[in-house]
Amino acid sequence: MKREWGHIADRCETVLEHIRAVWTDLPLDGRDDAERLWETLGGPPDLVIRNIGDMRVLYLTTIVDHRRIEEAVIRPLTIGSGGAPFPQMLTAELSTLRTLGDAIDALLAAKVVFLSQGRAGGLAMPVQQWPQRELQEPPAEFIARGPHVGFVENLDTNVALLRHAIPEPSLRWEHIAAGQRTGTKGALVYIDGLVRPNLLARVRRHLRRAAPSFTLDSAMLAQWLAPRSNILFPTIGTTERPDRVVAALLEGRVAILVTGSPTALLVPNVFAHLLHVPEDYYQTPISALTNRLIRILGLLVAAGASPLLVALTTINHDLIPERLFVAIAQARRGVPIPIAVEVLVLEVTIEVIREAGVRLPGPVGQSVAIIGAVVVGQAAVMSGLISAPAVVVVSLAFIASFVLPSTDLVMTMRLMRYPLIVLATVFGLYGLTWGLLLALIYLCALDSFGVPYLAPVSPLRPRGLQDTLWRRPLPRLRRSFLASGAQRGQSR
Amino acid sequence: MTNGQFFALMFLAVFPTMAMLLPGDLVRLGGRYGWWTPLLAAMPAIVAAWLTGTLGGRVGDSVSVAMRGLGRVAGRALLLVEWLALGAYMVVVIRESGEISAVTLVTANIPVWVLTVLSALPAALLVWFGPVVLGRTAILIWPVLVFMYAGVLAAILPSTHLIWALPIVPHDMRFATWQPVLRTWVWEAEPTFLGGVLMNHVQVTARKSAGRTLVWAVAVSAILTALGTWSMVAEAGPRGVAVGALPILDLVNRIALGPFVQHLQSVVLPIETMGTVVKVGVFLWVWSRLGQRIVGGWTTIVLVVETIVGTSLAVALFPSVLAVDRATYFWLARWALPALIGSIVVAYGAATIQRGRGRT
Amino acid sequence: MTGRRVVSRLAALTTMLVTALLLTGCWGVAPMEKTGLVALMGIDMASGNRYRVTVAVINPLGLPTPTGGTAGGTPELLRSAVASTTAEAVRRLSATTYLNLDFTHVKGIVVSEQVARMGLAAPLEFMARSPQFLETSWLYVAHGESAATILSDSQQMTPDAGEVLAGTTAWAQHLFPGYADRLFTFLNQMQTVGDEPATAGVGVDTSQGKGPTLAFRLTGTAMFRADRLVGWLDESQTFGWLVATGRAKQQTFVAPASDGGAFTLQLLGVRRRIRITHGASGPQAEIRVDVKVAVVATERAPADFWASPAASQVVRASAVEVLTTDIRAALQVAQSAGADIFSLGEYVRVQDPADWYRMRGRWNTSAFGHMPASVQVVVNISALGKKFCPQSPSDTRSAAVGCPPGAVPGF
Repeated sequence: MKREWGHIADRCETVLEHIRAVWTDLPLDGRDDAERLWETLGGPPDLVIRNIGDMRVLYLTTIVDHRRIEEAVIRPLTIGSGGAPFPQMLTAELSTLRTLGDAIDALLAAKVVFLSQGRAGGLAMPVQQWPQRELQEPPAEFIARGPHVGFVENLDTNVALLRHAIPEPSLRWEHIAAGQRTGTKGALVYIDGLVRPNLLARVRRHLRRAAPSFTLDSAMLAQWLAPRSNILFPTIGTTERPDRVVAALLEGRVAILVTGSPTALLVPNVFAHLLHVPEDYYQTPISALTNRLIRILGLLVAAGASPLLVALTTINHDLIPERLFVAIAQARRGVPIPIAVEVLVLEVTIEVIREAGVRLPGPVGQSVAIIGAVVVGQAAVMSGLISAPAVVVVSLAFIASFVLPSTDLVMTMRLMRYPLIVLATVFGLYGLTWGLLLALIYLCALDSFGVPYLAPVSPLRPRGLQDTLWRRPLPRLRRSFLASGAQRGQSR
Repeated sequence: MTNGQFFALMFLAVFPTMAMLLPGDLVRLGGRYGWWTPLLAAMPAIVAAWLTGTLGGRVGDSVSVAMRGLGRVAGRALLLVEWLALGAYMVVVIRESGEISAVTLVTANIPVWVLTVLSALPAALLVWFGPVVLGRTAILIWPVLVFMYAGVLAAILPSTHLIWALPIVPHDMRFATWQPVLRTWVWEAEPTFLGGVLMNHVQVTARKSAGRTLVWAVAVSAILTALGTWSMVAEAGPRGVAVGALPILDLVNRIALGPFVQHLQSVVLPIETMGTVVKVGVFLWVWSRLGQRIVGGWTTIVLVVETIVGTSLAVALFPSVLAVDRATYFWLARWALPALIGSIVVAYGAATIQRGRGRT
Repeated sequence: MTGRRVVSRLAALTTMLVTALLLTGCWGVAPMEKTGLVALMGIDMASGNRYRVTVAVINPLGLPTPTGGTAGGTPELLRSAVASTTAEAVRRLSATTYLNLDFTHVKGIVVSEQVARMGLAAPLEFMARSPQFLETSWLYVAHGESAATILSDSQQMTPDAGEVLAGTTAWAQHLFPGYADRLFTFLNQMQTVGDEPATAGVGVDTSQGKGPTLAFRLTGTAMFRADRLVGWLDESQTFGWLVATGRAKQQTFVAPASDGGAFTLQLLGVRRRIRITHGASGPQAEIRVDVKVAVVATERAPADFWASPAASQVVRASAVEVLTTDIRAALQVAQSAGADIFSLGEYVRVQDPADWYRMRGRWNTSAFGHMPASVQVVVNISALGKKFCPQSPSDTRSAAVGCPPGAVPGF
C-alpha cells in the first residue's frame, strides 16, 4: 500500500513538473507578464513591481542590493523616463529574457527584471546581495602556517576564490543541479588537461543518476553521489579550505561546490588523502613526513589501543612484561566489572560527553566536557568502579582520533573500536588481528570513482608514492598518479 | 591484476606456511644440511613455473586451455581430476592455517577447529570480492611478511652458535639433503598449478612476463626458507630444530633483547595470520574457479559450498598436527601434486599441439 | 559481480563478525587480579623417586603499589607439589593456591644437584613442549642445598626473587666469572654430542642475615654430559672456560706479580680460534685465545715499575700465565668428566668430518677425554691506566694513588 501511494505521488510530481515546464516555457508577450509572474511565484510578499513609465520593474526585495537598485535602476529610469523604451543603464550585465521561466529564474537569482508593456521579452540585471558572512578560516581545519581563508555559503564567492587562486583558462567549471525541488545549484570544477576524461565522465554520470530532490549541504549530495561506498570510509573528500581544493584540482581531482554550503566535495578521495593536510606542503619534507607518521600512529592508536588493552589483559597475559602486569593488576583491584565491559562503558561515556559538548554553546560546552571527563573519570577511578589504566588508554585513543584530519575518518575509527573490542575480548590478540584483517580486506575492495581506495600503495603506483608518506621536495614533485597522463613526465 | 599483484599472490601462496612448517621437516629428514633442500628442489620447480607462466601467458589460463584443447567432456574430466587434487591441497592448507594460529597463541586455549574456521571465513570473503581484491591485499602483506621474517632472523643473531650451522657445504650430500625434496616440492610447485589457473586475471601486459614472475615467487620463497632454516640450525642446533613443530615460532619465543623486546609472537601472529589467510584465499579462489567451470556457473554457491566442505573436512580429517604432517607427505606429495602437475602438462600440452596443428 | 547484488559488502562483513562471535567460548580468559606470576621454579627429588616442584609466585595484589601503599595480601607465595613427573607436579600446583598460575614469566629454574645428576631430560621435557613455558628462563643447579631451600631463603628479596636472580645473572655474565645458560640453549646443547651444556650453580648468601641484605651467589659452573651433571668448575676454572670458549665479556681477573704484587686486569675482548690437527693418536686441538685487556688496578707494585719499558711485558706475561693455567685447569676437569663444554667436538665435525663421524659414538666416553689439546694465550694490553706514581717527592698525590711515599729516582 505504501509502495502504491509512493508510486502515485511520484507520478503526480512528474506531471506537475511537466506542467510547470510547459507553463514556464510560455513567452513573455508584453501584455500581462508581470501579473503572470506574480501568480506563478504565488504572490510573495517580497516581490516588488514598480511601474516607471511604460516600464515595469520587478525584483525580490529580500535578496537584492537596494542601494544599487536605487542608483543603477530607479534613478536612471526616473530621470530618463518619458518614452524611452529602455534606459541607458550603467551596466553591461544585462541579459535577455524570452520566457516566463527565464524571468522567474532571473528574479530568484536576485536580478532585476525589466518588462515593457506592449513589447515582447524582457531584460534582467544582477543586483544580488545574498546574506553572506565574511571569509574566515574554517575552525575545523585550522593550520598554523598558510592561507587563513575558507569557503562561504555563496557559490559565486567560492568560485571566485578558486578563480583567484588559479587565474588560468584551463580552470573549468559548470553548473550542476544539486536539488531538483529546491533548484539548488552547484558547480563542478576541474582543470582541463589534468583531470582524466573518464573520471570526469564518471562524475557527471553519477551526478545525473543521483539527481537529488534537495540538498541543504554538500554532505547530503555526497551521500547521493556514492551511496554504497561512502558508508564506512569516506570515498568523497570534504574541505572548507580553498587551498585544499586548489591542490586537489592540481592533482587532477574534481571539486563540487553547492550553494548554501561552505564545504566542497573532492573526488576521487583515497585513503592517503584522509591523512594529508595543506600544511604538509607549506613545511619541509621532513616535517611533513614526521607529521604524517604521527597521524598514522594516531590512526593506529585510535582504532587499536582499547582493543589491544582488552586483548592483553583478558587473554594474552604472556605478552605483557611483568612490571606492567603487576601495575595493571594492582590498579584493577576491587573493580567489579571485567575490563572489556569497563572499556566499552568508558567508550560510550566518552562519546556521550563529546556529543554533549558539541550541542551546548561554546564556553559551556567546553566546561561540561572538561568537568565530565576529569571529575567524573577521577571520581569513578577513586570509587573503584573503573580502573586507571582503562581510563588512560580510552582517553588516549579518543584524543589520538583527533589527530586525523578527516572528521569522517575519526568517526569511522571510533565505530571500528567496538567490534574490535568484542573480538579482542573473546579471541584476544588473534581476534584483534582478525578484525583488522577484515577491515583491510574491505579497504582493498573499496574504490572511489574508479580509483582503488588504497592506491597508490595497493595497487602499487610508484608515481603516487612521491607524496603518500614521504613528500618529495616541491621542485621535484611530479604529476600526481591521479592526473591525466596526456603530458606525461611534467612536474606539477 | 598487475605483475606485482600476481607475484604477491604467488609468493603468499607458498611462503607463509612453507616458512613455518617446512624447516622442521627439512632438518628432521635432511639433517643439519637440510637447509640446502629448498635450493636444490627449486631448480626443477623453477623450470616448471617458468614453462607454465610462459605458456599460460601466451595461450591462456589452464582451465580455458583444457576445455579448448581437450573438448568439453575430456576437458571437464581433467578439471575434475584437478579439482579433486586441489581439494586435497585446500583441505590441508586450511587445516595448516588453523594449526599455525593455534601454536602461535601461547596462553589462549582457543580450539584449533575454531581457528580453522576463522581462517577460512576471511579467505572466503576475499575470494567473493574477487581476484583483484585478493591481489591488492596480497601486495600489502607480502613485504610486511618478508620484513618480519628478516627481522626475526636478525633478532636471533646474538644467540646463535655459528658452529652448529657450519660447514656451509656438507662433506657428503648423497642422501640426507635429498630426502625432503619431494615434500619441498609440495610447496614449491604451488605457483605452477595455481598460476596457471589465475592467468586470465593477469593484465595482458603482465602476461608477457608471467613466467618470470612465477620464477621469482618460487626462487624468493626457496631462498628465504633456506636462509631461515640455516639460521634456525645456527640458533637451536639441528636437534633443536628437528624436535619443533614450528621451529620459527620457537625461535621467536626465545628472542629476548632486554626487558621489552620479547614476546614477539604478538608481532608475528598478526602478520602470519594475514599471510596464511591470503594463502587460503588463493587456493580457495582457484578451487572455486575449477568448481565453477565444472558445474558451469553458480559462482557464489560453489564458493560457499566449497568453503563449508573444505573447512569441515579440514577439521574432521585432521585431529592433530601429526595427521596434517602425514597428509602432506602421503596425500599431497604422492598423488595430489603429481595429479596437478600432470593435468597442467596435459592441458598445456594439448593446447600447444592444437596450436601447432592450427599453424600447419 | 553477481554476489554483490545479492548481499552488500558491509552485510558480508557483519555476517563474518557474527559468525565469529558465535564460535566463541571465552577460552583462556583469566582476570589479571587473580593471576599469580610464577617467578622462580625449583625442582628437587622427593621420596619414592618423585619430583617436588616448588614455585615462587608473585601475587600482584600483595606487592607495594607505586604510590607506596600496600594493596594487601602476601607479595610472594611459595607453593610446592610432588608427583612422579614434573608435568603432573605443575598441574597439582594449581590446587595449592587460589591464584591462576601463569608460567609465562618464569625467570629462573633451579634444579637440585641430585636431580641434575639423575638427568634433566625427563623433568625439563614438558617445559620444552608446553608453549606456556618461556624457554628464555635461566637454568641453575642448586649448589650445596636444595632448590626448595633456595626459593624459600630468597622469598624476602625485593622486588622479587626472580627479578633479583635474573638481574644478578645478567650482570654476572658481564663482570663476574659466573655464567648461566638459558633453558633453550641448555635443551639444545644437551642433545648435541660434542657441545655439552654447562650452567651456573646458585645459592643464597645468608651470611648477613635475612632481609634486604639477601643476595644470590653464583658458585662455579655445573658441567653436563648430555642431560646429566658430571662435575663442577670452580671460579677460576669457570673463568678459564669462559675465556677459552669466547663467552667472557668484561670480567676482571688478577694477575700476580713476581714480587708479591698483583695487577687487576679487565677483559675488553676475547677471540678464540680452534684448529684441529691430526696426530698419531687422532685429532688434536690447538686452542689459541687472543685477549685484549686493560689494567684497572695495581697492588704493591714497585714505585718505579711503570717507569720501566718492560712494565707492560711483565703484566702481559703474568696475564698469559694466569689465563693459560685457568684454561688448562678447566679443560683438564672437563676432559676427566667427559663433558665437552669446550665444543671441541663441533670443531672436529666441521674441520674433520670423516674423523668425527667415526668417533662421535665414543666422543664423550673416551675420545674427548684423551684428546690432546694445546693452549696458547696471546694478551694485548690496550690500556695501562691513567695513574702513575708521582715524579717528585713533593707531589702530594703520592698517597692518593697508593704509591709508596718517597722519591722516585730516575724520572
